[in-house]
Amino acid sequence: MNNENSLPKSTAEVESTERLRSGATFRPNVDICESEQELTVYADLPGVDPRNIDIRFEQGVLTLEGTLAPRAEGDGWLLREYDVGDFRRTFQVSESVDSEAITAEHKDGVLTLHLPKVSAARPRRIEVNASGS
Amino acid sequence: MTTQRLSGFVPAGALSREIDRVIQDFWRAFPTHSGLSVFNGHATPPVNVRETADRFEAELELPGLSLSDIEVVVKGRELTIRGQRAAPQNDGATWHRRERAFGNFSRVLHLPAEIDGDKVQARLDQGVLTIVLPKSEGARARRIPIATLHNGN
Repeated sequence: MNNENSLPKSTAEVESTERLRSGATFRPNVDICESEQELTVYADLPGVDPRNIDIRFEQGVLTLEGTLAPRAEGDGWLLREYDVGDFRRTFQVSESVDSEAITAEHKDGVLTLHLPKVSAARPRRIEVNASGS
Repeated sequence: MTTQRLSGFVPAGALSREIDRVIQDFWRAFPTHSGLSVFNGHATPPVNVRETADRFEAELELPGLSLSDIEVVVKGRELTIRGQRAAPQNDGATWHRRERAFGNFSRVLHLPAEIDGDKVQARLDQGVLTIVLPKSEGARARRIPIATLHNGN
């Protein structure tokens, strides 16, 4: 079983590369949790069309990026507290993940990613058979 | 819960509070924000509001909420948006990263014109709540035709 200190390392954030294009790139808020079976990533992506979300897992690096057309154009604004646009997050995943088995779902503007661990990475529970009387 | 007055003319005190809040929002928002918003017991979901001649349009990002989690109330010039976002249950799992916020929120916006409460429409689409608030008949901007006076030559 992983101890508390080693845990954060399994999803370190990778310094994002500079993008040579106009417009801001937003960092969506993400929760990541780990169970015995998998790493689960939740990303808040309100208003994003699932077809515009690009998820890649290469050499232990999970990249989540996509496009979202700005909506707050025009005038007549009384209050403008947020803006939207293209987004990107990248994580180094040190757990052994079965990349073929990664699945994703998108509901109510939240993306949920399941990254199952390869069986070797799961803690194995050894059954101890009591030699019965 | 504070009421926010939306108008081109803001009393000085309110303006500085608004600026404080904008600055706080900016610093809070800069690394992780946005569009893709944060709220919890202390913060509130950000709102965009625009005005046209006959209506107001308010938009909030409320990812993970369904219609039953949200309440929209209009009274006179006041728009209230309340809701709650339940945290996901992950029994026995370890969190590596927790950036998303959960809990109750409410925002009260004081609009600069009377709303026709019967015609307000709200739509929730992929975590984005859009509220269309038609102004009441008396509050709509009217173009006044200007009569041209010809010299009677």
